[in-house]
Amino acid sequence: MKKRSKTLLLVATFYSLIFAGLLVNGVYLISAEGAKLETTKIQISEHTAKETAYTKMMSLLDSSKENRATLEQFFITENDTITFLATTEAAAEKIGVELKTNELAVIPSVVKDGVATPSALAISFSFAGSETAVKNFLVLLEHIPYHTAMPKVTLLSTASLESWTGTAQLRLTLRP
Amino acid sequence: MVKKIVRHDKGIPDTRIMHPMREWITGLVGVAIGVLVGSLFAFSVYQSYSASTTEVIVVTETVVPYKAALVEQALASYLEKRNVFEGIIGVSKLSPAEDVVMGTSTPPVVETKLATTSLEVSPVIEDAIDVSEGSEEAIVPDLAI
Repeated sequence: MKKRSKTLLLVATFYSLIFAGLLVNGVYLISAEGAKLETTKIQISEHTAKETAYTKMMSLLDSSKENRATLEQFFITENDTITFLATTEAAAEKIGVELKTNELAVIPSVVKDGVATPSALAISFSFAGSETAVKNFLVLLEHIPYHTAMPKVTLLSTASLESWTGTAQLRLTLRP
Repeated sequence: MVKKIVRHDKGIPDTRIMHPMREWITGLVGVAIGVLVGSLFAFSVYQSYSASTTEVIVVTETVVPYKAALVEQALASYLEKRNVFEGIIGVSKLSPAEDVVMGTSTPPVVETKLATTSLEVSPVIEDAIDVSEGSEEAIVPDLAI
């Protein structure tokens, strides 16, 4: 092979390698840009979804603001406890029932199986009075304007049905 | 035919390394194949990214449930309970926030309301309480709301 042919072969090989390298680099760049495009598309979609959810949430918060404020009043706080007891005792006196508070305790919040039970105020009353007074007092307890459960009520009457005594347990959900 | 083959074998061997026509044709065919493969690849890439730009990605949207009807129902129920409770006790002691808003602590209207408030036991309670003489029994009414 002549020297000129060798030189041409080397030059041709060199340019072929450069061309192949550029080609491979081009394909790699296209793939990389494609992957970047896919990632950006997903990010834009997620961002758009988040924006939509945020807008809906803000709208919901705005439209439900009044209702939530009203609902908050129906959950007792620890600060309201004394006022509530004083009100209940005054009402019992007005109704004609002798009232005694046997228990007043805060049951802490419990998370069981991923479900959170909010903290509650446990109150136990014992009361005595006439049949009408006791029943009226039960109506009062039934209409306590707080989120309340009454897990147990007991009533005891004398033989002549003139005097009734009873106990009631209340669980008032505390506002955190 | 055999004679032709034999004659060909006995011919003068081709000692040339370069065959310009053959190399030219080989080069053209190679370039044509390269252009064809490249075109197919470019077309597939174009199709792929064209579809990708028009494709809509479905993202799962987390919706916070808000049962407005249930809230309204609960509000109505609790407002009624509060009215009954305040009717029984005679004053609005349990809603200090409203007192502040109204600017009065004990409006005289409440006294009128007390006088007309019925303290009858609700049928639900009467049904739940069935006390025989001298006996004690535990009643567990479903009063949780």
